[in-house]
Amino acid sequence: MRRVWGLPAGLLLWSGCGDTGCLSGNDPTCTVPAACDSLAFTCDDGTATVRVLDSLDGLPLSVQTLASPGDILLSNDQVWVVIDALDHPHLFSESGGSIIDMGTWDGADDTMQQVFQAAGLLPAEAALYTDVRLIDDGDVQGVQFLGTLAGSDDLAIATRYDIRACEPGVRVRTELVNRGTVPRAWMLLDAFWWGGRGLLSYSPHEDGGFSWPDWDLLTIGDGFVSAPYVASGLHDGTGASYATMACDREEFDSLHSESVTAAGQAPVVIQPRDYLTYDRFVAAGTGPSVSAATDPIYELRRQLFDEPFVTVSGALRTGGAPATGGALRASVEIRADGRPVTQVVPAADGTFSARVPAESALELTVSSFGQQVVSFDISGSSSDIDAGPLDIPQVGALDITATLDGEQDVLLAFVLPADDATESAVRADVYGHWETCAPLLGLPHGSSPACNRVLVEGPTMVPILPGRYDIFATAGPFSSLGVARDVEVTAGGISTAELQLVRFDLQPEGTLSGDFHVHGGASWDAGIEDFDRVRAFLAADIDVIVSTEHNSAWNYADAIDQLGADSRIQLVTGTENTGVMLFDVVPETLVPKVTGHWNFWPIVFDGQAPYRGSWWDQKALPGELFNRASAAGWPASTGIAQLNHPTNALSVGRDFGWADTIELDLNRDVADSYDGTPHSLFSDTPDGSSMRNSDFHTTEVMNGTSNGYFAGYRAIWWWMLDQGLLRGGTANSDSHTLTENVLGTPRTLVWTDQQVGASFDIDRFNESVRDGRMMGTNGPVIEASIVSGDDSVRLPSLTAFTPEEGDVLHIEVRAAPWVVVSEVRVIVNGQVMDTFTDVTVPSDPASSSPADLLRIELDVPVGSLLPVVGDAWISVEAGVALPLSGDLDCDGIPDTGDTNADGTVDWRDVEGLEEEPEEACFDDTGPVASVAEPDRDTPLWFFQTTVPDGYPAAFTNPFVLDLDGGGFEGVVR
Amino acid sequence: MIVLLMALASAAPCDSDPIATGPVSVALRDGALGSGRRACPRSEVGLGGHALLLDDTGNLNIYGQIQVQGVVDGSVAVSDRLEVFGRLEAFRSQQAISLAGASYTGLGHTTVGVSALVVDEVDTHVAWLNRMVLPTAFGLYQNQHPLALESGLSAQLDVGEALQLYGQLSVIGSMGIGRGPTQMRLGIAPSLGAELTVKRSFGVGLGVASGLLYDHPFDHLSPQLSVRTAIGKVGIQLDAMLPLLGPTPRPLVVGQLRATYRFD
Repeated sequence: MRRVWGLPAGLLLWSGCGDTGCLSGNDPTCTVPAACDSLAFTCDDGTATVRVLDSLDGLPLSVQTLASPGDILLSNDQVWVVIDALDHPHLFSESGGSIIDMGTWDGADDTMQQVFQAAGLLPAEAALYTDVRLIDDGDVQGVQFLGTLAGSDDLAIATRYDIRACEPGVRVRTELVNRGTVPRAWMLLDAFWWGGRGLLSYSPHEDGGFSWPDWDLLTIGDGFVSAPYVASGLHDGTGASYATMACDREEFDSLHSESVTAAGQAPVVIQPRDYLTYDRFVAAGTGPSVSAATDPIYELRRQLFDEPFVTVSGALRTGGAPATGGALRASVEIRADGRPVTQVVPAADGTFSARVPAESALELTVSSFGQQVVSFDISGSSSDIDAGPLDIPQVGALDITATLDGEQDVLLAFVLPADDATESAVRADVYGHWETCAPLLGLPHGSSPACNRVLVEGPTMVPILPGRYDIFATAGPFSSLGVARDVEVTAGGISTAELQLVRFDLQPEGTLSGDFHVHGGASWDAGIEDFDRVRAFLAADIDVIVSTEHNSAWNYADAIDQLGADSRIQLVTGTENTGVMLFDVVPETLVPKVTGHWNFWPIVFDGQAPYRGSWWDQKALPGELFNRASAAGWPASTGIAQLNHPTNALSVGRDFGWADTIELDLNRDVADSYDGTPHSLFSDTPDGSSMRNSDFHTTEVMNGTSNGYFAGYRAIWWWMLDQGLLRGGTANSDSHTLTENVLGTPRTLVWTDQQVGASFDIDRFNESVRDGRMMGTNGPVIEASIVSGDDSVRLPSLTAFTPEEGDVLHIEVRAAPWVVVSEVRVIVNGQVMDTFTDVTVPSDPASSSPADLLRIELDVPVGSLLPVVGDAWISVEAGVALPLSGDLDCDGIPDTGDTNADGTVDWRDVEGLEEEPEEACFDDTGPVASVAEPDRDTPLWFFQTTVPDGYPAAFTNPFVLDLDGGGFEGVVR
Repeated sequence: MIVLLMALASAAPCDSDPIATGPVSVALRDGALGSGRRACPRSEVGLGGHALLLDDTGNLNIYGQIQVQGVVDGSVAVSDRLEVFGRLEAFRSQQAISLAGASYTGLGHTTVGVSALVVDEVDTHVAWLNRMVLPTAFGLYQNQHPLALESGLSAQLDVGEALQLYGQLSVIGSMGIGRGPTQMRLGIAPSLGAELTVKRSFGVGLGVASGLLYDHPFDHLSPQLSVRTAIGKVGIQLDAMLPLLGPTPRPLVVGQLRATYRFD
């Protein structure tokens, strides 16, 4: 009906009658009207300003703040908001004009990653702003951006952000005009990027709350729901929560995932000359409760839509005392007339309050440690409701202490159910999201405790559900396990667990251990605070950590100072160039892609600069990234560029691995330049670049604690070595938080003359890394050398040499008792030439005795390993037998495990395949191989207590043999 | 062969045969703006289906359009020289294809028009043709409503009883009504064609349509084909248009199947 009457109304407004804002789509002098014009907030001493930032001084910065000079700051007495400048855009926005920071003045609570406008999912449907103008209209302070969609100058977009005194957020209006000649399918949305491990989206639609319909990029229409507002929260620490609602309609469309919330207009047909507008308000409130942000929304809805609200309050008690303990100890979700409306985390004294619709029957459901424990029904009212004290069940507590070599230190403890009954009783997740944990002690991706893990430093008390538990503590792979078995926890009781660990003499002399791929709170997919992040560094007992935040950089300086960690850890600032913006990686392709992920170190951290010392890293081939890095100060001649996880799964439609992006085919040789096939991009030199895509220095051979893609990574590395592309192999955790990967597991041992401390020379250290003087491990330590008759010893290195007659490959493998080693493999030119299984097995995995560290020592004549013709390289591996895997898409990269455990890898192992494909090479593959879940108390079970889902593995970098004296030029395949 | 067909041919086009006459009338633009229309007045009602397919997918772009319309049309010969006509897209289903596509199903555009014979010689007929396309696809428009006008001349030359040549030259214009862009567009829609009829019950029309200055300096060049027949007083026609040249995105093919009942 509205649109029927729109015709005569439109006739009246035809030809410029009334304020048409920027709806003509081609007026560079236009001004977008202010959004939400009927709103009015009042307060005492309210202020509002807009300005271009010239420094960050005075802002309550958090680790996730991205602002830098040149960006636009909107602030009032309630909140501050940063919009990125046109010349240094972030993440999904190619041109700036997106919200990158938003917080309140109550503290350093900016947890906003990015809010950007989109008309669709394709690169051509992204907003490309070209003009920015500040708006000073007295009480209204704002900024507007004009531009087009990236695919056409005829598709105009304009967005205005406004701030006014006393308002708990920012008003936003976007106008999107089709000045083209054909109809378009557009959705006009704000996309809130949460990153997947931070804030959790909340939608008050029926059966909603923290639950939403499933969707993917090809079924996006199935994901839209209609609701009066959307919000996010339930994060860790002191960050802010956010909410948004449309001002120009009572309900709007939204879709949700753990990574993104998109709110606005679901896809509609837009005819030529037609347009969409979207007026909305984005609110912020401090703290982890969804209600922190939805409370202001209720006032907005009262003003805009005459929807009255009341405040419901109460106090949670347990055992007669306030229920405290963080976001997971007690989370109250509130439904009004059966529909979820908000969620609130009680304060430290157990009290809570939240605004809800008036005159609605309320249901308060309390979750504790991921389990719904009690519900309370409250009659609707037109005045505020005091629910009084509300009792929830008591839990117990675990008091954990742990020492390393008799000294108190920071250690990482894993709390595991000791029996099946406890396992089933305490297994839980966070409203159906993130990892399932048993027990769930804290938000999986927040600070300690997280999932079932606790950073222990002195007596550390954690609330926990009653049950029987085993507690294991680790200080990395070169120490014993701290073990306390079968500790009973009762409701209201406090149980203790004391754990002692000893450090073994396992790390070879002359090495430093390093983890060259580590994230923290500055990455958009990590929610952990710096203090606990650095404590996790310490708990890993590791020497060198390269901080590699996504698209940015961070140095943890304050936390390192606070913890005095600089004498124990050498922190090197790096960055992970992470492709998020899709583009035509492969020329003339239909499918836009990204170039995977690339680490660079060292770089200079600059707390004021855009990207904090990193650079704009989107829409660039690797060779172009290397050039950009060099231009930004990364030392190309001494630094490291690393190919991360070369093959992996898609995430939000983006390839994690460069090999996947270019469909690398290990059955083909490397091409010198692009020949029309994606594969040939591997070593191509992009236009305008002085470096090849293959001009990186290291590649990850192990990534992640579960080591799931090891077979694929090593196959790609071996192919490079075979091709004469000598690149060092590294082993890194890619840890983001305490949960998804264990920092330092796996790690790289580097033979170097450097020591941790003030004299540490990163260039000298990197010289060893670039030369491949390394091994990677999650437990076993391989000391492999080629010993000549004159007792000269060569360690693994990418520097080629010619072996002498009688040279011997000497191998010693050591490991902590809890690390299973069942075989040693010798690999020559990508083929396993020998497997040795005569390995010592420790009698007690939990032992702290150094007696059984040496598992095998052997000599192999080098001459017996060499090929008849051509050069060669030799690598050594140790650990357990690798899980069976197969290459079902015929690209030479193992991609599928024996998931049905029938002893073969075939179509029956592929997830989602119901019948055998007709083609010999499948389009669908995976999942990758993993080890079978071990029985309790077996050696592998002990290993997995602190290396979840992993299996012991280690590899050396190669010995590179120039057999013909003409230099190493690859091997004969 | 042509001579043989001409020998078998029968009536002149402005007579009362039910078979469709005139240029190929398939429409490239909404509301049949700029499409071919016969010069001779007649009274009839028509019912048909109209479809358009556009595919501009490639090089990072996924874009396409599928349109299907159910069309009711009619004309009244007010006199020997004057006709009023109308066309209603009673049903319009339109799908705009992208990675996140969208669709519309509902009422479509309405066209009203009048044509008047200004030359009515034995072998030559020229009509002044006028159309207006009204924005009645109410659910299709989000905010801005289009209005389109056309004025031109439609000519028919009878080469023989069985062969007619057609030519049409229209000025087409459109604009947006509302707070959005007016974007007044003016262009020329020329077309040429010929129709061969056999025994008053079967005809084949060939033509070429073009467009200039409307969306682009050169909008399109499109061969057209029409196959026509009549059963009793019911005429049936199948028309197709293939926009071969012109800037992209442009439709791959446009077609219509139409049945008419002639009263006079």
